Amino acid sequence: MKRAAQVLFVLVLGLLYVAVPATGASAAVPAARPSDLPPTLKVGTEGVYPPFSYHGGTGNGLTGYDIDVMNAIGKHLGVKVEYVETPFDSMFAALEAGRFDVVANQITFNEERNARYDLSDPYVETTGVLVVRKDEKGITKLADLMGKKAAENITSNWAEVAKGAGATIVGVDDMSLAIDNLEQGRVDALVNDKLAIRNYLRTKPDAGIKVVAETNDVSKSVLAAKKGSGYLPQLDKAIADLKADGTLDTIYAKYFGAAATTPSTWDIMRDNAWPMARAALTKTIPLTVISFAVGMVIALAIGLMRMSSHPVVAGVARLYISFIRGTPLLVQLFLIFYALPQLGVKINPFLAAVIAFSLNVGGYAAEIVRSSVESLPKGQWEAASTVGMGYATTLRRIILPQAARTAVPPLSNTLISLVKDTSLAATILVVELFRRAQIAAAPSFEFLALYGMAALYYWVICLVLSFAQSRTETRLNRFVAA
Amino acid sequence: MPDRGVVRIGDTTVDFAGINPGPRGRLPKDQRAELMALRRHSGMVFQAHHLFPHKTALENVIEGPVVVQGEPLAEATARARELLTQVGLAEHADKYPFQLSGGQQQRVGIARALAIRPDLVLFDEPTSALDPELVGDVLGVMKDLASEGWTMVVVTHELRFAQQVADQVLFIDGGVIVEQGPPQEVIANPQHPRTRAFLTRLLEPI
Repeated sequence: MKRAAQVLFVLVLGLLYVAVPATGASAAVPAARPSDLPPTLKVGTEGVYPPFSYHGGTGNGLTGYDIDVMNAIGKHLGVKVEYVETPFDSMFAALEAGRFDVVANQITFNEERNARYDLSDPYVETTGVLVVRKDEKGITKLADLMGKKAAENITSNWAEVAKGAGATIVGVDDMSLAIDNLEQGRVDALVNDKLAIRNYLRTKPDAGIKVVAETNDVSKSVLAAKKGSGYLPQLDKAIADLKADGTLDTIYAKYFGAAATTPSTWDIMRDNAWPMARAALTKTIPLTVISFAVGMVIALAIGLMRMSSHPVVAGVARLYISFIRGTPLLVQLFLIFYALPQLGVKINPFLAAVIAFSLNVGGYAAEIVRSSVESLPKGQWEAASTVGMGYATTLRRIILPQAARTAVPPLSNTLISLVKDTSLAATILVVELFRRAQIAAAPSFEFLALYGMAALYYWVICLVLSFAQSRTETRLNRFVAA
Repeated sequence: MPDRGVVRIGDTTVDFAGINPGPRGRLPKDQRAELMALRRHSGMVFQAHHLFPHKTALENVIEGPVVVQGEPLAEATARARELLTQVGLAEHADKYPFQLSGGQQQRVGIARALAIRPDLVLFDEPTSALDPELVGDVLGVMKDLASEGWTMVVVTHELRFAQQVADQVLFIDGGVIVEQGPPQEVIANPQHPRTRAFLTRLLEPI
């Protein structure tokens, strides 16, 4: 009970801390300037942005233009490079939270970013292109975007360009979803990297989109690190050296030169069936099982506290339940994963997900525990007391076994919701089933096949659970009249 | 909760003048312990039986001896079977409460109360929730217990039973003792008008 209160306290503290204006937070950044790169350089990248950062090739490993460049830089500087895959819109939050040291993900140079982060010299230059549907006639230049809708990553440079031209931004998670939205007519246009769009059209030559204009300014892709990292001199030198010896040109030709071969939908599904199943078996299911087990312990403690006649104990439980039910699970996940590091608490993704889901399940299931215990006749407590039982024995021997019967259906709902909620862990870098599907869908653009397969996997897991639920109910119902 | 008077069972004495619920109706810990000590001497049979529905008749009976008193399972089981035989339910030992009639359930309740070897058994209107046809079985068992020498405190409206079995009868109205004495006095020849009115009403309902 005390622990739960502590965790809650930290959560609330975290919330307050985040609410403090950014100036307060940035003042706390130390001005230390380590002169060397760490022996293992952690690199943040999207993993779903072809051809720069995506999964493909043999073994479905991480590959792409930015990955090859980063590997070459690491080799040149004699440091090991380790990738941390992160959704683009969480990229800078994760960089600041210390999840990784450098971002290699087609970060476009601009002055605002330059003021806030350490930005390297550019390793590739490109322009942005304006993309519309094939049958679009009204939009031929950037200025035509005035009053139109454009699909962009909200934190990307391209969103700024489109907004600057007067477009309303519709936020999406990655470029392929932006194209999807455009093809389906939910938006009118998008602005994105010329190379990325060129790659897309090479993979999907019959896509219903066309390029109508280029942006005026050249966009320079740079590596980003935390302000005051001290990495820049070495990174800049490596980029200059690799430019000079032609390595960057070779990598450029590999990704933007020759024509790509497109595997069939069936090949992609076959190649990803096992990786996705493995993600379910090693991440989704353990995440669910552990979080549910821990959550049940929390629920029992909080549920019993909530029924206490002691006003402070009951009040703490009430506050906990209110906070958990009154805030989105996604926000709870982000608080633990991105906000706690700012208080100096850094937890790995899987553990952070377990903590967030356990606390969440604990809050919801506490009310189930309470209502199922309260639904029992008071005479059961009295009868237990007349045979000499104390509170704990009565709970264990008499109350909980009976409460379990009424609690199983609602708890099963909680469990089944949890299975599906674990997909939110994708946003905090856990490569579980849904994230694996996203990674596979990004370079192939096979959304229907891969997300359909993910849905099927979730469904199968939930079917097994529903079956287990009805078995459990039958077993618990043996002592009541039919 | 009595507001005064002394209850003494065996070597445990509780003076209710010293038992005072604090704010919000909670008893202080030491006072609760006193009542617990008193309770350990007594078994209780409820009007609505309050059997544990997730346990068989036998399991209901051995729960207190085994879990609370630490009696070995085999010993407690043998004793429980004897008690169930005594209340006429030897064949029903392995049935769940929902498989038994009201009278049978109440008799399991009596066996459960006896199983913890109390000095005294309390009965709270043990027959008033029962079908009239089943009342006889329960009263029969209670009569046997009385003749075996069990100390029993019974709250009941079964006057004939009280008359035959009780050593002492108290007529209570609104929490206050109106009249007390041997049954042949209180029931056969009541002195207080309140007692008379009640008995008349009960013996000649129309």
